[in-house]
Amino acid sequence: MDFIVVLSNIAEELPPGRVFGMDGQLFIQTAAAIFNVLLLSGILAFLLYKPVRNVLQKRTNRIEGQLLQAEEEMQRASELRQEYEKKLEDIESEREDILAQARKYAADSSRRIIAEAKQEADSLRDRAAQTVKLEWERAESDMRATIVDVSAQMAEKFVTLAINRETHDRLFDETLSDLEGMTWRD
Amino acid sequence: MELDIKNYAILRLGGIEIWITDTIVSTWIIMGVLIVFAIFVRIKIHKFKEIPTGFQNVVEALVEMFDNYLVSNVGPKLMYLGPWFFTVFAFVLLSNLSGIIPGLRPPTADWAMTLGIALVTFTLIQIMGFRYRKLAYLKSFVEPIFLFLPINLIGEIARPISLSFRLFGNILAGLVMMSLIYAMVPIVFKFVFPAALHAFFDIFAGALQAFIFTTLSMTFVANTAALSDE
Repeated sequence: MDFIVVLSNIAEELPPGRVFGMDGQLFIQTAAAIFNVLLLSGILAFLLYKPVRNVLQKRTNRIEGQLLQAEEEMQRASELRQEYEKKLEDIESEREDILAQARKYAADSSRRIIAEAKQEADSLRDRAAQTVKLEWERAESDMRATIVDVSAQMAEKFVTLAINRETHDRLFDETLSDLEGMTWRD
Repeated sequence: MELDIKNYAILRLGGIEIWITDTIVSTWIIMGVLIVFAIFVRIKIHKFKEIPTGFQNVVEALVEMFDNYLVSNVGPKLMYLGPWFFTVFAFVLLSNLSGIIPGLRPPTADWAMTLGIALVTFTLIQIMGFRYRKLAYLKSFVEPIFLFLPINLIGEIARPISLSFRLFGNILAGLVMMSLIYAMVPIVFKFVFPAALHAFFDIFAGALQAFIFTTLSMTFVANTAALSDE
């Protein structure tokens, strides 16, 4: 190849070494350095820096996502807790309402039952009083009838023994008129 | 240790002579190491788990730490420049650390290498300036008045030069120091005493210079691109 030629690698034919030189070779060496470093930069970027950075970035994103998710779940849990606390408060309030209603119902029922019992007791007492009154009247009537019978029998006996026909008739008439008077009164 | 950048061969590409130097060979070796590591990661990445362990942990920590470092310097808007700055940091760091390997000359101890990287950053600065500030970027060269144009231009051109010379100078200084020490100490101490200095010049100063070079590059790009409209 004519384009790339190794002119010499024999020590005697090579230019002497140097520390620093301001000539055309400096620019060539600088260009070679630039080429080498740019090439190295491309290779390192492709093989090392970017892939590792991607791995780190993906992990960072994943962790951030997980943190975000955890935060959202925390938020959701907090909301749920608030909701449950509110429900518990509502349940407490509902329980109080139910208890109040039950107490009111019980009080009403108690009052109603007592009123009914009282009414029934009054009714029973009234009926008993009525019965007593009726019994009393019947007993009075029976007694009166008995007295009349006894009186009549006594009178009959007395009359039979003591009075004559004329007196007998007179007494009979008087008794009859008395009986008529009593019947009218009753 | 030798200070000179040795030439191993000369290559002609369509009439242009390219010296295959110590720097180029070291660069290829470091590129090879990084590419092999990248291929290994690429193969392993399909087996990466949700909870990282061992090697995966190391790789993820490296990239994540660099991402944090990048975002703190350029902001989220310019994160797509990550691969370039990652390469600059990894390459400059390994280049500086390569001084501890016998026979390997740090590529960053050659101004051509540091200038090359700085010129790419300089190009990025210009692209970002035009992309995000458009005409306002051009206008910034004649601010506060038109007479400041040459000064502003010199200031702009000085950026890659100062950036590249800072790194080159520091690493070369470490190399010079180590060469002198190796030349000075008796042979019996050559395997013990320089180790502490290697730790300082190659590991500590090398890591620090890699960090400074990358941070300055990021800051220049970020300042030009984003801060003006924020």
